[in-house]
Order: sequence, then C-alpha cells, then structure tokens
Amino acid sequence: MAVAVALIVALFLGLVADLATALVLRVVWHGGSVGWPLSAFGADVRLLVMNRDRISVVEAFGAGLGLLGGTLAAAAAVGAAPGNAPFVYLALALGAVGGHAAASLSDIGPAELRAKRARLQFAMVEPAFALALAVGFIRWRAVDLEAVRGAHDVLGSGMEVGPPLASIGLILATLVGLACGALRLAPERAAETGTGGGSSLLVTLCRWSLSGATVLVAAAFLAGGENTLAAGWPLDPALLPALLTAAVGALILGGVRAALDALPWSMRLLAGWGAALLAAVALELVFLA
Amino acid sequence: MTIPDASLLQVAAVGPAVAGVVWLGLLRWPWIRRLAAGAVWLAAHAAAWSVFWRLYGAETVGWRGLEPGLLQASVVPVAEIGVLLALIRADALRGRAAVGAVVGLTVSMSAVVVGAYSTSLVGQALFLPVPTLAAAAASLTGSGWRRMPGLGGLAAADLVAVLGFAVLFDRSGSSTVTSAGGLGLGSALLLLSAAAKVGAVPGFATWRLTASNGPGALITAALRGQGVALCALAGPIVAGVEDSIPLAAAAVVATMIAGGSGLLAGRAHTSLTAICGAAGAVLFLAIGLGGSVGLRAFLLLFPAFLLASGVALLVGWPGEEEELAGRRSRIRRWVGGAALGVAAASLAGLPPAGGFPGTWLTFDLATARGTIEPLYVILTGAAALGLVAAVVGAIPLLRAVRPGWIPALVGAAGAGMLLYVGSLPVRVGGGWWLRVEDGLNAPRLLSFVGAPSLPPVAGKVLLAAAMASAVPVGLVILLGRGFRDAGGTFAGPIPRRNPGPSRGGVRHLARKLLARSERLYVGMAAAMLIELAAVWSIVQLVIRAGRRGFL
Repeated sequence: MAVAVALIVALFLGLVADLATALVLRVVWHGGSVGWPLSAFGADVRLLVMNRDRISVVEAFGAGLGLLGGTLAAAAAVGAAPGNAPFVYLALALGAVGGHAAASLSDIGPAELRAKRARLQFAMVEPAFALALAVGFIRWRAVDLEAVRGAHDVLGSGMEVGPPLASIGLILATLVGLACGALRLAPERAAETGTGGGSSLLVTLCRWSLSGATVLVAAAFLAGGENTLAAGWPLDPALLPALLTAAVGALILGGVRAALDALPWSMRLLAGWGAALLAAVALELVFLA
Repeated sequence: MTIPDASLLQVAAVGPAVAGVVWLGLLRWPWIRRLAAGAVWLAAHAAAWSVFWRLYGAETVGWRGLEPGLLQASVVPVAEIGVLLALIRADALRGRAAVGAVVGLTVSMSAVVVGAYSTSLVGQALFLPVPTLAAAAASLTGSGWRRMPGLGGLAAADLVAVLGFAVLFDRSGSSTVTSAGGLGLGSALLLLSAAAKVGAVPGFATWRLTASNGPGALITAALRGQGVALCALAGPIVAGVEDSIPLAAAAVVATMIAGGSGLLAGRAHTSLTAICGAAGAVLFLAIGLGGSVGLRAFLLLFPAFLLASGVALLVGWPGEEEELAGRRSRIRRWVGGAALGVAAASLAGLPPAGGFPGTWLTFDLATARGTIEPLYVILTGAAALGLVAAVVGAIPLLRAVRPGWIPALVGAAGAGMLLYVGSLPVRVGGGWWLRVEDGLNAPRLLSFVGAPSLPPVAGKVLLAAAMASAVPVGLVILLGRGFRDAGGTFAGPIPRRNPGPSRGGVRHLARKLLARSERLYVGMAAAMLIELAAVWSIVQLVIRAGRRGFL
C-alpha cells in the first residue's frame, strides 16, 4: 500500500513541477497558460476516449518500465522499499529509460526530432546526475537512504548540520541533481496535431513519476524522513518537513526546466556539461569537509 | 550401453558440418531439408551435451588430440544454440544467400567444436581460419559481395591468433595447451584475436560483418562462439586468473565506443552491432579484472552473451529484405519485439535478463578493486555508461523487427531461457562454476557468489510496485480499447543531419577512393593476402611441431 501511495505522491509532485514550469514560462517569457499541464492532460484523455488515439505495445511496455522505475525510486526515498545506492540509481535510470522508450515512437517529424534530442540530452547529462547522487551518499558517509534518514534523526537537517563546506556541497549537489533531473525527462506533449492521446498520456505520467521520484530522493538527502512509515503516511506531521522540501524541490525542478526549455537545444547540452562540472565541485567540497 | 568417447567426440565435431551437407542435398524440398538437417544437428548437439555432462561428472573424455576440459566443453553447446538460432534465420533467406549462410554456419560450427575440444595448439590453429573463410564464402553469395565487409579484419584476427599460438608453442616447448602462469605475449595475442572475433573491437572484423546486409552477417554467430572459446583458452586456461589493467581499460574503451556507436546508429544493423559489441567487451573486462570473481563473472557472462546475441540475430537482423507492416504481421512483431527487448536487456546487463548477474558481478568486483586502485571506479562508471548508451541506441530496433512466425516463437523461447538464467543464476550454474574453477585451480569461492549483492528487494515490494505501475497503463489500454499498430522502419535515437550533395573535401575524396577500391577489389585482395599469410603461418607451425615430434 505504501508503495502505491509513494507513486501517487510522486505523480502529484511531478504535476507540481509541471505547473511550476508553466508558471515560470508565463511570468518570465509570457508563453502559454498556467494551467496547460492540466488542460493538456484532459485533452489527451479526451483524444484517447473519443478518438481512440491508442498506444502501441512498445509504448505500453516502455511506460510500464518507466512507471515501475519511478515507483521504486519514490518508494525507496520514503522508506517503503530498500534504499541501497545502486538500487536507487537503477530505479531512477529505469524510470528515465522507460519514459524515453514510451516517447520513442512518432511518425510526425518535429515530435520525433524532439524525442531524439531528449534522448541525447539524457545520455549527455546522466554522468552528472549519477555524480550528484553519489555526492549525496558520500556526504552522509552512507550507501543506503535508511542510513541517511538515521543520520538526520541523530544529527539534524542536512542543510543545517556542519561542517559548512559539506552542507554547501550537499545543497549544490541537490541543485545539480534537480537540474539534471529536468534534463533527463521524456519530452512533453508536442504542439503538433496528432501527437496527443494515449501515448502522450503515458509519457506525461512517466515524466511526473520520474520528476516526483527525483525530488523525493533529493529531499531525503536534505531533510531525511521517517524509516518507519506510520499508518497515516504521508499525512503524518513528522513527515511534513521532508514532503515540504520535496514540494520546494519540485518547484525548483519545474523552474529549471522552464529556463532550459527557453535555451536553444545546443545550449542545453552545454548546460548538462556545466552541471557535471558543478557536481565535481560539490564532490570536492564534500571531500574537503 | 555407454557410447564410446570416440563416437561422441566425432559426432559432436563433424555433426554440424554433416547437417549442412544434408540440408544442401535436400535443398529442393524445404520442409524435408529442415527436418533432416535438424535431426542431424540435434544429434550433434546432444553429443556435445553428453561430452559436457561426462566432464561435469568428473570423467575424462578423449580421442586422439581431442580431450576437452570442462570450460571448453561448456562453450560448445551454448555456442551451438546461438548458431542454431542464426541457422533458422539463414534458412529464411532467398536463393544463394541461404545456401551460403547455412553451409557457412554449419561448417564453421564444426571448426569451432574441433578447436574448442583440441588440446593441441597446432590442432586449434589448423581449424582457426575456417569460420573466416566461411564468412567470406557466404558474403560472396549476397548482393553486396564486392565489399566483403569485415573480411580483412577477420583475416588479421586469424593471423594474430596463429602468431599467438606460435609464441605459446615456442615458450612452452610443447604443442599441448598448458598454463603459462600469467598474461604473456602469446595469450595477449590470442585475447586480441578473440576480441575481434567476438565483435568487441569497434569497426573491425566481426563488428563490421554484423553491420552488413549480406548473409555473411549470420556467420557472426559462429565467429562469436569461436571468439568466446579463444577467450576462455587465452584467459583462464593459459594466462590464469591474474588481473590486467590494460586489458580492463581497453575493454571499457571498447564498451564506450560501442555505446556511442549505438546512439549514433542510423541503421538497424549498426544498432544491433553496437549492443552486441558492448556486451562482448564486458567479457574482456571480467577477464581483465581477474581473480576468482572475475573468472566467475566470465562464466556467468558468456552463456547469456552467446544466447542473447543469437536471439538478437534471429529476430532483429533485418537482412536485405524489407517486409511491409500490416495487420497480419502485428502479432509476430509484438512477439519478436518482446524477444528482442529481452535479448537487448541481457546484452546490456539489465535485470532480470540473463546478462544481469554477470554484469553486476563484474561491476561489483571493479568497485571493490576501486577501494585500492581508484582507476577501477572510473572504469566501472565508464563501462556502465557505455552499456546504457548501447541499450538506448537499441530501443528503436524494437519497432523495426519483422520476424517470421518460427523466428518469433523460437526467439520468444530463447528470451524465456534468458529470463530464467537471469533470475536464478545460482540454481542454474552453481555446481558448474565450482567444477570449472576447481579444474583451473582457481581460488575457491562460495557457490552463491554470482547473485548480485543488492538488498533483498522483497517480492511483495516488487509486486506492489509492478501492480501500481501497471494500473495506469492498463487503464489507458482499456480506455483506448486496444493497441495501435506502430510498425515502422528503424529511426536512430540521435538526430542526424542529412549529408546532402557532396561538394568536395575530405569526405568526398574518401568516398571516391572507397568506390574505386571496391571496383578494383583492393579490399578483397588485401584480405585474401592477410588470410594467406595466416595460412602460411599455420603451415610453418605444423612443420615446426613436426620437427619437434609433436605430430
């Protein structure tokens, strides 16, 4: 049950990230409406039901894997599944690969090009993401999120516990992880006619689950959580700091995504390399502390 | 009644070639030739398993110069399964191409068996060039025969291997395969040749041949089997279980190049080549990491590699023929796509496919070594990225598969075997690993080392996660009332600009030179010369062995 709730929480956080993207695009670049994630979701459902705009087998399989990865990563972040470092990374990687597999089929030129570019972005930014994740674990000298949460219980929040260099390194790594998380996502619904419906719906769900899982993992490094999930989870007040941190993380991820969307595609690749550099700096800070 | 060793070994060695001759003789009657040749092939395969089983039971099996160890005897039946899958694909080719591919595969397999079973360096060298010549002959039967891709590289690989045998012969003073107690020049040359034959060397030999359209690409199933047998000979048997950073580093570089090639693939053949090449390079990474754990990782990796590459060739190799998508082919494409997906996951080392335990153990060993030598951590990360890139590059293959009914169903059966092996590695191979390691005098490992040291992800958690993620997908399928037909052609994962009309420059000049060299058969001539050099070296080796009384 806790695993299913983790997926729902991740999907909700992913929706928050998308809404943040829409808000930033509207406020800064005066583009689109604030509610386009929800309106696009509704349009996809309508196309699926009324026009029978169905999914293919490859898309179903890819989306299944993507949602499975997001679910496992989110569950690991909140303590409903094992939080071993390789397991968390593999789950996040599965979430990303599955989403890209679900978005890989399109016969419409611009949508296909967008999907290909998103895959290249994912491949280019993955080393930086893995490094940022590693910094989080190295900061707490742990290989398991359970140990990280235990350290929070004893020492306090990751943003406050010294030494200062380690805190700065951890915060920097978290920001890098969120930025890379934005670059790893499957492409959103294209504006071209014929690209909505079931395929777009599943890709949206994969994107939301991966965004949500990414911010939950980041929140686990910064704010910890509870190793024992009470019956009232996630409404248990003891979990609020972690969930609020995750919500803020979702807003940051959405904002970063909006900023990156405004950049030319080649600049997004440079941003990925820049993220790798920052992740290396964060690693150095954590080692020096 | 016990079958004599001589009969078993003869049937195992000659049987595949006889199956090819039977197939050729009954060429006019498709189903009769398949049944008759299939029966002969099964008899040879059963003989190979019998040899393995006797050695597994600590008996010795020998006849003249054929006295295999358990490791070499293990490679043969697995390689034969991979070749059988390629044979099913080859049988579906048209005209001369089918003849070239089937006969080439069967003759090559016999040569691989003799090479694997032989305890004589000279005997192994004698049969070494056969798969290369078979690949050349099969390529001649295809429409792109002028190019004969990969032949030069394969000939060079043969020459390097023969030189390796010659060095081992000179240094040991004996033509019998013996342990050299470390990675020397001879075993290094053999490993280089093995890497080229397995397809782990980017742009060279088996790599290029796999990426071609012609029937020669199917011969790569036998070449991979030969490469694995050579790798097992040069690595654990001759060199022992010492680690080698240069070998590990070279394997990682090859993995990364393969991954990049997969991402940039513009054709299905290139994508297929890249994923097979990346997986092949991981075998050498395991050998390079050394130790009993490295040996155990190699034992976990090679059966899954041979089986998965066979399934990938069976359902994923497009050949020269294009079949249009349509309603009737949809089920076949789904089944074939699922089988190819499992094969690609196995080659990339993703769970729960067959390649996962070996890949995981390799990376686990590398990170453990990284606590002493940090370079290994970088190598591990780089290899993992290479595999991820290769599997991302293989995703568009799933859409482009168009197998026939039999290849789709057989591919699905192969995928099932891969999932079984990947889910229960200790149950499948625990006793076999211990016996092989004992035979090679490797330090002892506990039998359960091989399963990944992940935390025990309880079945309930996985089931709950799978059900939770299946609900939205199921809802979408229900709301849409089924699936849509999304068959299409291969579309590479990375956007590439169209080259456009050539306007001079280095690229234009290179294309002109290539076209001219093809017309003048320059590449073919060079490859033949190198192969002749290899054959001449074999003759010299035989003469020297004869003078020393080893024949």
